[in-house]
Amino acid sequence: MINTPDFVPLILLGLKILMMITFGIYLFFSVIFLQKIRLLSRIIETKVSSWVALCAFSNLILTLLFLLASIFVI
Amino acid sequence: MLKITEAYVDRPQIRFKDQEEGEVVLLLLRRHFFTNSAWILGAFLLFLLPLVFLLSPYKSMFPFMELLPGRFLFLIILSWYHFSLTFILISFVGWFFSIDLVTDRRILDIDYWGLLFFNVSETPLSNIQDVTYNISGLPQTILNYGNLYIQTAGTSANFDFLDVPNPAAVHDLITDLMQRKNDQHA
Repeated sequence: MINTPDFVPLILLGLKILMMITFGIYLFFSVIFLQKIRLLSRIIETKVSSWVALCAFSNLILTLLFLLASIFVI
Repeated sequence: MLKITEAYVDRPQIRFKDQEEGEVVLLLLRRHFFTNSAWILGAFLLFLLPLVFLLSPYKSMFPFMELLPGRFLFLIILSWYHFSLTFILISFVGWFFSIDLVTDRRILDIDYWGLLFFNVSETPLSNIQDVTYNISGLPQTILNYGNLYIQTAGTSANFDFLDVPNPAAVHDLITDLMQRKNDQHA
């Protein structure tokens, strides 16, 4: 009979790798999103544009932190 | 002051790229805010889902979750909320930056959706041939928003202002501007 806990470290490793890949892809798209916001802010100049750009930048930093957390913390 | 939820802004305080000297932006249009209800509802559900999962009595149906270390589960939940916030940001930006502008010289249609699509088209008022609008369906009739179709001369693309608030007023404004342009030319 297969003892489930034997597989736990393997599953956790798989999950960790999956999270790293997900956050890596997510980081790539966050950079594209920030670039897009910068482009849009140049085309339409409103006060809200700078706030949106700030949100996009925070999103990028958060994604980077999550990527680091998935590599080093878990 | 430009409010972030406004979809019909008369003489907005904005500038756009390639705006000419002395050109006045008369009207800024976005899709009616009601058209955002689908993603707002989706975001609400995204926020509720982890709470429902964690507090539900059916948690025991997923015994694997019990085996995950606490910090793993914490990171998964945090990243879920991060994804949800990003979903809100992307959806909002898609709505906020997809605008139609009417100036005293031309009309502009700026379309933005997804991460990889962006389109800007413009035509001078003198190129406009015909403007029609329609309001169809229950939400459009109740909330007074609809589609405005602007036909242009020659090979230039036609313009569709979709789900804009008060299409009759926009129609009036554009036809008045066209009339004024024609009078100037005559």
